[in-house]
Amino acid sequence: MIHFWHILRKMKNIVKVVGFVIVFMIINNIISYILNSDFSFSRYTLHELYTTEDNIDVLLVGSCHSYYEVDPSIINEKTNIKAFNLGTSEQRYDGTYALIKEANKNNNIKTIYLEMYFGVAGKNYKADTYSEETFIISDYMKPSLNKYLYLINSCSKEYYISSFIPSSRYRKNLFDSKILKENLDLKFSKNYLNYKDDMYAGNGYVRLDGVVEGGYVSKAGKYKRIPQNAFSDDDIYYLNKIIKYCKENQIELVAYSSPMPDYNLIQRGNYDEYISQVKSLFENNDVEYYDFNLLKPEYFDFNIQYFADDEHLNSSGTVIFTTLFSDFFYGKFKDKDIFYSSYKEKIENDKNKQYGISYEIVPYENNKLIKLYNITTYNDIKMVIGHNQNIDNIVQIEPNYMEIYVDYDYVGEIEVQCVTSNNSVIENYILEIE
Amino acid sequence: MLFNSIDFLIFFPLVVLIYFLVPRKWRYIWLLISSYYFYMSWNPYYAILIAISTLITWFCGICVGQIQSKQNISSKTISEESQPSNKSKSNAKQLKILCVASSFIINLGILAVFKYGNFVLDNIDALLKTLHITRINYRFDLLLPVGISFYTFQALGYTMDVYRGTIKPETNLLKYALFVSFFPQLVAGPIERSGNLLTQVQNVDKLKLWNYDRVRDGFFLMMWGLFQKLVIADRVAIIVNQVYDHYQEYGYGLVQIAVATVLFAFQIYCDFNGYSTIARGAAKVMGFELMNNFKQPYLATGIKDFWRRWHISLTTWFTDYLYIPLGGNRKGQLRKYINILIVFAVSGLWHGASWNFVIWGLLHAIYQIVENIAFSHKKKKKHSAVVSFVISVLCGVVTFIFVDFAWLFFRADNASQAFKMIAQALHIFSFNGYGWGMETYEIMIAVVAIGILLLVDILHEKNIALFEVINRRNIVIRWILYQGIIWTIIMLGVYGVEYDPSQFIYFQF
Repeated sequence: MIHFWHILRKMKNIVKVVGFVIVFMIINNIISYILNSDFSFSRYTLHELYTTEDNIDVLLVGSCHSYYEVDPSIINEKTNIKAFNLGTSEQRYDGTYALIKEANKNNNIKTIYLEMYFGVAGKNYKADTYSEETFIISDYMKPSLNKYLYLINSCSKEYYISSFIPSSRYRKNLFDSKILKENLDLKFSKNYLNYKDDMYAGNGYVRLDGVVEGGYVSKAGKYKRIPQNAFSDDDIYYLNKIIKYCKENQIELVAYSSPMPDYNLIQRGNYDEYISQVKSLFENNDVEYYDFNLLKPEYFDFNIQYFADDEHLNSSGTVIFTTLFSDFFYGKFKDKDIFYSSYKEKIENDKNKQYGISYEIVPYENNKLIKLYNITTYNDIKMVIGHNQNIDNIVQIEPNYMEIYVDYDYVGEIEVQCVTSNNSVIENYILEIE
Repeated sequence: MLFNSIDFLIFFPLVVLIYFLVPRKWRYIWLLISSYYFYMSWNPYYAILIAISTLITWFCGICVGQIQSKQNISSKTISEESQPSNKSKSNAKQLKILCVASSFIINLGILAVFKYGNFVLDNIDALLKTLHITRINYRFDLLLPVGISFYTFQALGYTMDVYRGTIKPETNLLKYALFVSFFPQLVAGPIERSGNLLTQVQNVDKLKLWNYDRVRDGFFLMMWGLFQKLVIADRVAIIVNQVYDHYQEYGYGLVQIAVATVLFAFQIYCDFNGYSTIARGAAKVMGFELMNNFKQPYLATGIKDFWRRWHISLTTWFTDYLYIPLGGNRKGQLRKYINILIVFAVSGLWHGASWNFVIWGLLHAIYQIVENIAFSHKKKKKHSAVVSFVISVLCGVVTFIFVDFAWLFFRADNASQAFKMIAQALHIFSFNGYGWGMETYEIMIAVVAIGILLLVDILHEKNIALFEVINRRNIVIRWILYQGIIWTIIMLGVYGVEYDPSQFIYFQF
């Protein structure tokens, strides 16, 4: 005992330094807790990952196209295989890599399904930094070398204070009493303390309800072409690391793309190019890629009622898709040819489909010129302005292109109908002109 | 590598750790390597200039030392028989002067080309234009090496000290190189004297390896410097820049220009003193004591008093190596005033190759001369404590106003801008609707932080050493204060993605 105190006295200064650092970390956590608005679902996902007792056999990773669109409980139920969705918002591949390693620490993962949403690709990780997509993962990871390596590599060193001292990130909230009150109310609520959320359905799946009302209408040019080099050097670097890690750990890696509304993909104009880019990434690495946007109609109906918005499936769509996903990888569709060979082929076979309309407004002399485009595979369809609209100056240029001239200060709604040659109305759209 | 950058946050602990681990005899080599790395992080080519300056001044010191020792030996030998001849004495002196002059010419030549080359060419061109003669139209394509004025003056100070025989020349080139390039004070001072820093470098192997109290105090000093830089200087800089960069566009008037100029007084103080304090702290962690460059300058009660407190290392350098050699105050009043004008004009030029700096320097010279004429013959009356206090407060306020007016020339991009701003301030008295470029809560933070700074300065003025007071308290109070200052910097400092990382103003000199 005397010996122990003697050593302790000698170590007094070291103990003081360590104690000081511990107090610093405690204060950091307290300030972070008060100032961070904690909006992300990843808090629930990572908590469940750390607390789940069953071994996770199948891991799903990727962006919101993963956690909104695949419900692991359906796979669990149908196959008796424990699946878990570790998707997080805008998940970059460095995040995916870190999460795979984190999940594999306490689980014997056999298969990983990596979602390949093009929207998260193409970033320069060091330049596009101070990214919430990194922090919503790192903030909820347990302290480990994996976590700190992830933080070090995910951004340039100028941002290390934000990365390693999370409270500094939210310091602007210090002077916003409204946010402070909201945060404190949230942090002391039962749901928060018990990791309960209305949308978080468990196993990493987040339920997205609702459908797009009134069909798809958007401004022209919203859906840009996917870049020719969709994957940045950073993406490729981390994808290769993921592939290597999976090989080293005898994990089967499967890449896939979740279904998206055709209204979105068709307007991009080059989705097939993206598919070939993904395929070329994986072709020499024994990684299979399945694009569920190429599903034949008998297997999945890309109907608007299954989508919550122009990107994601809603909960009804997820049930159908996850069932199909499970059947394809583990059940009755295992060896079936359920895909078209290309997106072009799919659209060519998609006869008589009305996807939506897009518009652009340009000034024309003293008027506004509204250019209307119909996105459809119907051959005999035309756009018609609703009868009760007081608009006379309409020029039908082509069946799927129309010009409307309104007063420069015109504000209001315009009803657009898509009508077939036998005068049956296929779809009604409302354009809101501001 | 800025003191308020992540690079330094990684660099410094690594340097200190290895410094403590390497054998004592290798310590100065490690510090020399670190210092050159630190300097080269701005531009690797800068190292060539500092190496040249180091070699020349070191060689000059050796030569002067050799001449001196030869002179001493011959005078000892001769003294047994007869006195040394005046001729040999004057030969030795001439040789010494030649050495020192060569060192000054080469070092100041480098400084002149890099810092003043384009300034001279600009002015020659302007003159030629007025005389309708073809202009030179040539400019040097050179980047001003960071801190060149600081290390050049430090090295020249050493040359003069050796020449005057106040110190012995350093024979170990690497130790001398460390004296010139010691990274905590390399790029923005304090301009150390060889008697202080070189002596410590020479004895670096005798320093106590680990002294908890010293290291702790060093880190605390660094934190206090960072507080001044990040919480005050960089925050008020937002308002200052808003007004100075947009005074014409937004039509800022007297109130806003005056407020911005007052805030600039605190910006430059906290920026420069912040750097010096971090430098002192960093040096202290490693066992070195650097001089204090500032002594509560805004509590000065006169201009002369202000210069005893502001940038002390430069003021004393100019006093010792320029003002006194010019004759100081030994050659009559008129010569004294001319000397003051010369010293302050040079000091202005030292700060920057632009006329606004010269005007700033000359303004201070005029202040001093007027102060000298007005108060030198008045006998000090004895007053009651209250009256004395009121007088010193009034003197302090008046001094601050004069100093602050001169800062306007210092902050302006050029002399023309300074005059335009003064003219505009005299025309527009109303407070226009344009904001300060900062939210109200940020302004409040700045005001409270300046209040804390002034409080600390007042305590220091009353000889209350704050660190010692804090260190005497129990661990709970100490830790509250230490954690408090760290968290204030983290939460209220101007850094990170919301703000651009700011350079220290004095780096440009």
